[in-house]
Amino acid sequence: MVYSKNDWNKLLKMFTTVWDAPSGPQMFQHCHLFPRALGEVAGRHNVQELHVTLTEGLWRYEYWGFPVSDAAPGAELWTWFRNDTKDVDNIWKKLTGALSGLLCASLNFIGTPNSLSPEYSFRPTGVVKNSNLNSSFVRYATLPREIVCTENLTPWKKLLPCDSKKGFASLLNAGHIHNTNYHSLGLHIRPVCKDAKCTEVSIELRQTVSLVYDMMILGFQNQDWSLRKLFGLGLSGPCPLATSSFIYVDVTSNETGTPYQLQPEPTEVITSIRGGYESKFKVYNIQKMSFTHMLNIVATYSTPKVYAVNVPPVLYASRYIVGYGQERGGIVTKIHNNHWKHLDIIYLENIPWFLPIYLHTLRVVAGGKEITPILKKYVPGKERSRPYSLEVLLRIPARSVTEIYIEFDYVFLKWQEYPPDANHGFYIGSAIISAYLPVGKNYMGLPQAGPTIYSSFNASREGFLLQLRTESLIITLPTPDFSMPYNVICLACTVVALAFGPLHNITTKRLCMKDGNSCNGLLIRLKSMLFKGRKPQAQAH
Amino acid sequence: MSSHPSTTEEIKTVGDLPVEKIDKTEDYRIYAAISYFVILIVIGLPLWWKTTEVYRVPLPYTRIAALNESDFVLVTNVTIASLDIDRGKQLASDLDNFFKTSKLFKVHFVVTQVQKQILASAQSIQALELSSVSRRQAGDILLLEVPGLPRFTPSQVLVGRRRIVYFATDTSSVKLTEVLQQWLFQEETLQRMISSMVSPTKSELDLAGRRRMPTASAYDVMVTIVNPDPEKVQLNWDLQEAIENFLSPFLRNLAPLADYNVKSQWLYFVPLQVQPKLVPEQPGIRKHFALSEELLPHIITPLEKKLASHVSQNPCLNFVVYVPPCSESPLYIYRQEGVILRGGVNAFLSPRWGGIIIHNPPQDICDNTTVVEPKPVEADWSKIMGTFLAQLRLLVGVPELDDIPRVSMLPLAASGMRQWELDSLYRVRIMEQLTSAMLTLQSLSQLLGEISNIVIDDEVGDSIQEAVSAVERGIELLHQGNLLAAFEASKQAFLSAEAAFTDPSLLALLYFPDDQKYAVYIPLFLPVMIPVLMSLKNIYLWAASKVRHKGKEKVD
Repeated sequence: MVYSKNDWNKLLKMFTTVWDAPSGPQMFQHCHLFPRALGEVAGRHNVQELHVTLTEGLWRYEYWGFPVSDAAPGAELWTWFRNDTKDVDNIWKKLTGALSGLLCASLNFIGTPNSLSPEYSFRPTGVVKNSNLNSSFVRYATLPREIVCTENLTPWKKLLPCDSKKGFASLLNAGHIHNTNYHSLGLHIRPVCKDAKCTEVSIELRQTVSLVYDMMILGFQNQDWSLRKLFGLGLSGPCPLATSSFIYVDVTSNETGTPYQLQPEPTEVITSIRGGYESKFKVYNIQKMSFTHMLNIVATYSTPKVYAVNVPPVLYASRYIVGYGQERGGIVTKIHNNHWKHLDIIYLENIPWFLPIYLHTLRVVAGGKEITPILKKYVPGKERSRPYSLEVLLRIPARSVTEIYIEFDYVFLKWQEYPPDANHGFYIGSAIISAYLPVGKNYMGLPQAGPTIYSSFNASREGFLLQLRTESLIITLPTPDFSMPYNVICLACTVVALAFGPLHNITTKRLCMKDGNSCNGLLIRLKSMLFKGRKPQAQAH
Repeated sequence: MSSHPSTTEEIKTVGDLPVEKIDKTEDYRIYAAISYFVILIVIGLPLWWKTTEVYRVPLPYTRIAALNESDFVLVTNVTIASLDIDRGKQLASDLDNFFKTSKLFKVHFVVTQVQKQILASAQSIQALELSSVSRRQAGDILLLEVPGLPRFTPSQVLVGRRRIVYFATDTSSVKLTEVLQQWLFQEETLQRMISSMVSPTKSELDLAGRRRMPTASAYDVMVTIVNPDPEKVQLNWDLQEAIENFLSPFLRNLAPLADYNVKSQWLYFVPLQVQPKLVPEQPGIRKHFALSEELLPHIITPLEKKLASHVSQNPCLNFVVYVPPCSESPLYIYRQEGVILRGGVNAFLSPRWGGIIIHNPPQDICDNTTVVEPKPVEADWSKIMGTFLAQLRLLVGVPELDDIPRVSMLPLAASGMRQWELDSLYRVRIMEQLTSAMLTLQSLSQLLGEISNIVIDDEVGDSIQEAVSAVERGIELLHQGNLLAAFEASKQAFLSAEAAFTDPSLLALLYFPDDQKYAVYIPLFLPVMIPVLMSLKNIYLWAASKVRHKGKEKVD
């Protein structure tokens, strides 16, 4: 499925592909449409739910609204293991290793020392057998330094049954994807109900791509866009194995902002009212269209671009580092609440072990007034074995900016623990803010029951679960001179040798006057030998 | 500063100190020099050597070397059941003479007499197969004389599905030897395998050996259905059920030898990547496409990237069904120019990899224009799975046997395996695993002997010990003729030896170069050692003078 939205000169495309596979004891042994390579990985490691995202760039909530599926910069992975899993840490390490091979990403660097088991932030998104959840079966980790490139896109495409030969995946050409402002690949496995009564459970795999284009950066003179402009080629047809293929174009802004015309005419127009906000979509049903030549959807603007005042979404956040020097520092997270009512949020901080934080310095301030968190869950880190995990439940006041501040120390690492190019700095993963929004404005997330964009239309609920990822941070730890160990050894040895020489001499030798006549020192003997040789020559002269 | 020794005779006084006192302090100085020497050289150096030593568990080098001398002998019991005990004895001594020259086999012949009633009451060979005489221990063979064999079969010798060889009364011992050697024992295959393992550059495997998968504790069997154009061909096949019906019973038979995990997958839009040649319509020949045999390896390459597993480390046997679309069918494999593959089986086997079968859609569906695309194609499971089973037998290690005139065997049962075939498979695997374990241990001990930097921790030491004793136990059990227990021992030997050889801890210090070690130590050792060693001269002179002094005193 493709979803497209025009907003602030940026364009967002999103593919969601869902494969259902029957669940059972031999779940992943025999695969039809479900990719066997991924199924084997999930089956072997006792995975109940698996969410991997590989993202380049930062989602700018303030300007772009909320994404369909949220992702932290770099690689992000979180997994629920089944309740009967033994030795979760070990199996988690093996899982990351296998996924790393599957997706050509450095996920193998994820292990216990950089994984959390958050209590509140990550709940299963699919069906669970009993509501008694034990957070020791969930693992969450990020690799903010991970760079996403073609080598990740190719294996991602290979998991689709039509590969990149047919359907929407044929649009994904590396050259046109990696010049976007933001791109994110995702794999989401979860168990879902097979029928309304939920007597049987099947497995759902959602493969997502989110792309944000900036037409100005791409060098186009106007803001008109088309499939060919964005992807380099048109669409040749649907994947014959798919049950449905749709393209949705959000035309809500046509009525308020700069209007644009779509060519060819859509097959349908849908109006969706969700959480009190109305949006309009033009729909192309790819399977019902005839493909005599490649499909190219073109949007043309009648008037030039007008830059209006940005209306930010209900909730967004930003994060930065404060402090000076190489001893102490602090992290500040600013959470903006633009809603007219207070909001309850869960704030998850994921701090690596080499950045010891102090819980007593945690301060939450909104509009100059300190707020007491409703609940705090803190798992202190351990050097080289566990990161610092802090979950804070907050009630942030209406129309306010809340500041969460915590202090940390800069520490020295062992010399082998520095990465190559250590002066580049160390990355700290995003903080995650989870909230239950009462309004559906700017919200595009999928409802829990539905896997496709279509299921998000007219899906009004009591609240909308939203997770925001903040920026990842980069800090410079004190970096030593790496030739230091050898220098230290040499220096220490020289000092010892220097001290030993005189000590040895004093204790084993005696200072005494020397008889002038008895000249049998080495130098004198050498001299006399030389002269012996020369004397006859001198006499000859 | 003077470093040369001065004896008491030469210097009477120094300053105000009396001679006695000087003598004393001089002695103390020498004692100090001696103590430096003792602490640094006698205690310090060995201590340093010991503490920086690479950790190595003592290994049974002599036992590993001794494995080479021990010969693998397969002891087999053959019972000759004859109506006439004398004839049976004669046969036994003839056969014994033939097998005396055998290097691998040591055959014990036992002669018994059978009651005529048992044979007479049997209506067919099948009935004899099921009777109580057919139960034999694994590895043993019964040669049973059936007087009326021509009633059932035109052959002189008939090999059953269990461990029985039926022979007619007029069968010569030469013929029986031939059957035992070529079919049941397959000694040449075994010998070729061992010699190719021991000296891979000198000898080659035979055809059966080249096809057979290398030994492992578990295998994956993957059935893949390739539909290159799902817009034109639709396959609604129940692959899972077909696997359960056809492959699983056979693999269950092999379970004692190794674990087999069956997996299946469907692939779409994976083309052949080779262009089949169009053979136009001729009188007597329909239009079809030809795929010559030389092109077959190129088919596997594009498939390969979709077949790998990211989880399993077991060797994988791949079986691929390729269903060409109507526009490219029927597609036939050509053995050479103009000759279609024999038997009308449109399949080929890739040794140690798996098999591919081309399943052409039926002509009537392709020609029928009323059927809209995608055209449904039904599976001919017995043909597809029958081919896969035949290929699987070869890959697992059951060879195709050469024909011997007037000798035949009973057709395969549903299980797909004869008991004596299983026995010979056991023998192959035992030999392969024992030889491999022995070679691994020998190369490991050689490697450890050559490179002193390799760490051998307790775990590696344990697995080496275990492998050595398992090889010894395996050889011992073979001598006893206990095939199943010997197989277990050989399997353990193989796995332990592999585990020891591939243990990552062996590499821990391998790349720690010596020059770096010296670069670190020399700044300390050189300045400290030079004065200590130089003082040795003083000590020596002092000790010599003492001795001389004592000698003089004695003379006085």
